Amino acid sequence: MKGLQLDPETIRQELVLFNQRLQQSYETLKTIEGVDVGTTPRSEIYRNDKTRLYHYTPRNQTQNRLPLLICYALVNRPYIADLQPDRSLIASLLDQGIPVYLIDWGYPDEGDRYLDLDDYIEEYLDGCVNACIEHAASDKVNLLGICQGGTFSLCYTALHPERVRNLITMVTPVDFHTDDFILSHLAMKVDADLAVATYGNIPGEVLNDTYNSLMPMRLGVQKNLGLPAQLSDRDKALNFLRMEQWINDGPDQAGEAFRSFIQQFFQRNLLLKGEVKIGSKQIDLKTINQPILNIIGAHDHLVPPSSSRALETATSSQDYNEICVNAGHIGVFVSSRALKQVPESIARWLQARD
Amino acid sequence: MADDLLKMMQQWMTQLERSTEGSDSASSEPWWQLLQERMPDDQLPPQQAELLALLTQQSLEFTRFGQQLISQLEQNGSHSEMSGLVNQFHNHLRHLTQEWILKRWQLPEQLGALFRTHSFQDDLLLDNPFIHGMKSLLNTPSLLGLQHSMQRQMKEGIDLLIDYEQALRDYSAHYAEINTGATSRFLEQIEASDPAIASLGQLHDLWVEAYEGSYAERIATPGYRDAHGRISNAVMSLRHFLQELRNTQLQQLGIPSNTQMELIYQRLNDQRRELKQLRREVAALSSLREEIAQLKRRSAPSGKANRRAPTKTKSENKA
Repeated sequence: MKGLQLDPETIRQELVLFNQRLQQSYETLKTIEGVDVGTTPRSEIYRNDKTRLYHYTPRNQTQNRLPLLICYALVNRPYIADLQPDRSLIASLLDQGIPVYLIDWGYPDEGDRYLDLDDYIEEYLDGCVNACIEHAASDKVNLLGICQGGTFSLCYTALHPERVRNLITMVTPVDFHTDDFILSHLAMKVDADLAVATYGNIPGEVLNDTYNSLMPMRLGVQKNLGLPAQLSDRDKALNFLRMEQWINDGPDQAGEAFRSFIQQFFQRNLLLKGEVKIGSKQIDLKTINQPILNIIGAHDHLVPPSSSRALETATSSQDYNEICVNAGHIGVFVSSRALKQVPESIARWLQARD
Repeated sequence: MADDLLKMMQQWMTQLERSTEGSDSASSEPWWQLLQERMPDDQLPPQQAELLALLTQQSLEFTRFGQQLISQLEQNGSHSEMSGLVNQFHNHLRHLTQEWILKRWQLPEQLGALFRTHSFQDDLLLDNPFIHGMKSLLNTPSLLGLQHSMQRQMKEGIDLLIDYEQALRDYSAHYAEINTGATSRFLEQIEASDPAIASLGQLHDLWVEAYEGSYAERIATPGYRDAHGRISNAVMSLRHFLQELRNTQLQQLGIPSNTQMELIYQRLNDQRRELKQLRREVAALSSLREEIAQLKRRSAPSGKANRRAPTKTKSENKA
């Protein structure tokens, strides 16, 4: 076989190096007692059941009149937007003089099994928007939705256009039936009713396994074999542990909300058809006239660009802008390269529309 | 991490560096055995301990494969049959994939315990003595003693178990195809490698590339989607079935079952919504009351004037 030239000595050296790094990894891990995430100073300004709204302490002179409210997905924890001081979307937005607020949905427990999308959007999100408006003494918010939070933000804006000045969506699924939307493809035949009947709330680990199964070798074998090289350095080890903590910290999903999201959005693609029902209200994206900034990850394997790009023609907005970041789903707001580009673009875009 | 463990790792690496005659001497006292034994007693925080366990398992596989490779290369010299090495590598990774599948789609705990000794890799699942016995028992007419409801429940359970096994088999067949596709890609990519692959790390990276390509192609097919849905639903159906059995037993013992707890949660949720709706209405009423009060206050000066005017008129009349 002409492309393979292995010799015992090289492999032996490779094994030695691998195990030296492994040994160093053990030493490094021994010195780390714990990791800290979400360290940007903030205060809780509103609480409704398990949902919290945080206001981040401004750093620079405010450049924007309206507050920016970040709505994250239910399926992961929002501190990914403030993972560590040098990899923080929130800190970077504060540096740009933007007043930032963040919704934390909390960790649903058994008692939350019957919370549905109406509760999340019309009760919790609406409550946070009102609290944000009151706290910032403004009449509207700029809404930034990430992933599923972006889909929620679209629904909310369609229901309450008078409260949203500008809408920013990041890695947001809109068309759930594009050819390359593998997560949606796999969800098609999963019985959501049976899932809720079986689990009640859907365990976070079940969803995590599903995400990992999209690239099993890359996220399994390759990642693990690269670990000794990563963990042998303390700073890199801390970065890695923070990310791992976030990955493994997926909250359980309130059963009814999960059922409704899977069936209406993933399986029946009703958002684009204008047929999603939140409580008794129908969501018509065409009622959205707000300026839209759609931020997409070019290498997003969870929400493919094709799904997010469907937003361009889905609303009535005459002011639609798109940024395609050279990153994956999480890299869009965590990678250092993206953080040099995204917060500044958001700030410029908002200032032009404040 | 105990110092003796680190010492042992160091010794092992020194041996490996010095070894010129195969890897037997280096692997005679593998440090990872000690590590695995000591893992539960480790003083590290859970996250780090879990990571260590993963690292250890991964290094074990990697090192074991590397040593096999060294041994083969040293026995056969540079004329080693490379396709044999690649097969070895393929088997090593297929083993990892199988473990992953079985871990992901494992039976619910109760059934897992029942079948712990049984291999899901062979054809015995549908044919094993337990299933045979249960089938004949369930085919026995109910008048021979087995209560009809229990008979029905057990038959349902067996049907679900059979469905699970068939779903798992169907799902595994897709993985066999993925592995075959990945191996062909892998071999093609090795052939095309220029410069030639010279390290285990490069070989792994190439495999990951080949595997992900084959995997991405397969999971996008309707066949894989159906198999994925079927295995997901089969595992959930079994779990749900066992929960229902447990609920019935709990109910018979007078202990609140999961179903009853869910009913309570549902009622609590309904009341929570009603309470919030009432609060909103009260807030709206308060707001209205405040508006009325403001309107009253605003109209008060002219109202007083109006009230004073008639009084004045009266006094004027008196005058």
